[in-house]
Amino acid sequence: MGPLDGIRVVDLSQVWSGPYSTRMLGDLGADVVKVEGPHRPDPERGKMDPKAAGGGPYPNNDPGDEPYNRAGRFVEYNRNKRAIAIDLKAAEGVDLLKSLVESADVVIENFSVGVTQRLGIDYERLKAVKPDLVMVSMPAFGATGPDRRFVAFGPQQECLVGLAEITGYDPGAPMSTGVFYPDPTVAVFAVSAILTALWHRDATGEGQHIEIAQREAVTFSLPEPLIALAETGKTPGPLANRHPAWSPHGCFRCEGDDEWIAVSVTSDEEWNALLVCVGRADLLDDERFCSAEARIENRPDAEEIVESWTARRSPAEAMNTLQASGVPAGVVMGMADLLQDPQYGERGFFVDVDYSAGVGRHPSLGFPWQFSDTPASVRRPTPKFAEHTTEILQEIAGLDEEKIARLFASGVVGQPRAG
Amino acid sequence: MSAKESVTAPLDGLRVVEVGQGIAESFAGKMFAAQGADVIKVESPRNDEEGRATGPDAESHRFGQSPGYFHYLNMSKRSLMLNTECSDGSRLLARLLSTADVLIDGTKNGVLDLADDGTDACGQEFPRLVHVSITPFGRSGPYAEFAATEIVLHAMSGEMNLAGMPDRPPLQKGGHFAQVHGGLHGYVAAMAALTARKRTGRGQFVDVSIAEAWMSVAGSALKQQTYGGNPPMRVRNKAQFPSGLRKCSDGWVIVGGRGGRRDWWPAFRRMIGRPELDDAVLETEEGRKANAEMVERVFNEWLMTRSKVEVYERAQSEGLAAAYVADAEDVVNSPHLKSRDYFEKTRLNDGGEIEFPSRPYRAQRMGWSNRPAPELGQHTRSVFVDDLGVEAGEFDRLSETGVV
Repeated sequence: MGPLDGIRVVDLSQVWSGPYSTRMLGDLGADVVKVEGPHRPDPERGKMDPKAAGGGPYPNNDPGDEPYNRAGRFVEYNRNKRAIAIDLKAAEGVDLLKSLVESADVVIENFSVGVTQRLGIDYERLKAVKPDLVMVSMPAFGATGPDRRFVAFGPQQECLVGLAEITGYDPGAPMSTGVFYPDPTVAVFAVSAILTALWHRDATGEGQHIEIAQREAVTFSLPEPLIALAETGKTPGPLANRHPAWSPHGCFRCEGDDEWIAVSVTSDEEWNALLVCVGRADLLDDERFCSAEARIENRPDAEEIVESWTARRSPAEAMNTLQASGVPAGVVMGMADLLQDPQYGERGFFVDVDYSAGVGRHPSLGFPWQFSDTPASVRRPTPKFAEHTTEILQEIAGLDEEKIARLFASGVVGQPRAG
Repeated sequence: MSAKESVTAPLDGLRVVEVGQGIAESFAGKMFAAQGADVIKVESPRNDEEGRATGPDAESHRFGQSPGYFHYLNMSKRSLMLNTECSDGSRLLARLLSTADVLIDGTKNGVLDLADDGTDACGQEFPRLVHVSITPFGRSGPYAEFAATEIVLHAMSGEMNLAGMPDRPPLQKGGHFAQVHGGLHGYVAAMAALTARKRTGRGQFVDVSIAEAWMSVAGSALKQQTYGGNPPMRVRNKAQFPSGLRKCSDGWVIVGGRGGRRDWWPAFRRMIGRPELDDAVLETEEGRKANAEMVERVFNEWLMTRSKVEVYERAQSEGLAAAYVADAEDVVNSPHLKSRDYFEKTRLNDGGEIEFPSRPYRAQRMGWSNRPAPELGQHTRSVFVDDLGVEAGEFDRLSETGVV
């Protein structure tokens, strides 16, 4: 039983930041009800038509007959959820949503600013049916301020918060992270906010609305450039793989094709240990390297000492040798390396999930927390579109068969078929 | 959220003991402290020389002394100076833990002699304690003892190989996101375990691996690998038109689509306003590809006559997701963030002032408090003598022998 067993979440969110946050809640034991529109599936489900081009990644690169149930990103971010399709533009759909909210602890949404008001499902209206509701909204910029109606996704946010400016190989040439940190970062803050608000609710009986502006949450995680500006009067730029205070520090070529190791020497002791490892004890008293300051001054020479040794070794051998002497070092892993790595293997980090439903078994990212008493788990594979509509209408909304049939017939709830 | 609502410190009444000097455990403690928990940071006497400096990104602070970043990570906490490596110190720490709800533990082997098997000893001694360990690779496995810095965590989580250029080395990204996420996941773990404690009456041990947390966050490429696509190694900067970083007259911008399945082309064409783009053939992806050179040229010409802020506002006024590459000055001067009172001026212990990001979210009824970070050992006496009832004479003796 997970730590959040007994918590119910109604999830109106889509794409990445919202669904990733509810996946974490689900992994931790919460009952997550994912609400999509009968004609508006989560965009992360990708293309609707199996014959259309693009989309994915799909298992074995095959979209299959129901690509919207097989899209890789969607599958990864939506396990441990049940899926229902409700038309929130219909009054009856809004009523139905409210009947789900009555039994929920948390509602989460990442629509554009103003959409919940327009649909009549904003916090004030949902609070009327569930007074101690905790509701989280995740607008890009927040509901106030001059940019509140602007649109930004991960690639834009990482520029606005100053991350792209300090990422790159060369001064004056900023780069994208390529991974787009903002969405998943906001997701973890959302989980933090929800757990804190539930703690507050249990103590006081009060629910509340929480706004997580993506721009603000990510800026909160990246104060370094602002601090550097305040402390030095200069705006920092990209440092490639170097470090302002440590040397040598970077990514060094190893034996083989495109094989690399990260090495990060943070003290004189580590430098001396490294010299012994690489067979250069003759340099132990060399003034060019006797302090961090000296090693920064003579950075290319210090780096050459490292790379001339790593270049003749596999990354794993170099890492194990350096780490055995206490020098921070790590293999630059690719995804295949991660799946085979003894550390993640021994800890059982990757979980082999049976997604059945045409997806099959796939190793997925597991849980970064190991709870001794209430472990996280995968209890349900990712739901097909609208898969649990009937079950949820019966079990949570308490509707009878006749009423459910009517809702299907009128299109207020969706069949398990997207589009 | 309006400040008029009545707000409280949601975690008031919880006591958190934080041990370890890393960014991750400090960030976890910061989340607790800002939301009202009594966070007691246990610092080693050695911190005087080395610890209170946590790798800034500033050239002139090249030797690791960034009082600002340390301050940011440790606001609203109390500081206790204690030598936990001797038996008297260990005994005092145990006394402190007997009053705590949460132990945030950044050490690789456990903070108490009695916990040197790493996991359950704390649980036997303090059955209601939530003991959250936050270490680079977790407490088990062949890398449990490995030393790691930010770049090592980026390497070993697969993140570092994802972006950058194929003909250059894998590239570390800016900031300390891996460690920040280690800390945030530690906070989530602690709050989840406290939630479970309400039901079970028991605390528990939670083992958080920073590398696994960061892999979870940054692991979008794993999906490609396991679902049959090609693992994208340092090729992700080849963004689809019109996206990707581009130069304008005074910096760099990115102009993306509109989100969802909405067609961005009409908005894009209106934004540029040049007759070359009115050709109906350009309305399809194929047509634009066939004329890519012209479309690129027109776009870049347009960009080079506009400032980054102009591009941002013009593109956004057409509903296009757009941004400019902000440097630190742009961030701190952002009219949007200023209008939301996002930055909070803080006086550092050395007299300097910094405008810090104030909070990650705005809650109707939960306050967020940023009090100055403590001086090293500032609260040693008040915690032991006033809170734990250690007799003043005993405290002085411990003080003389260097335990506290």
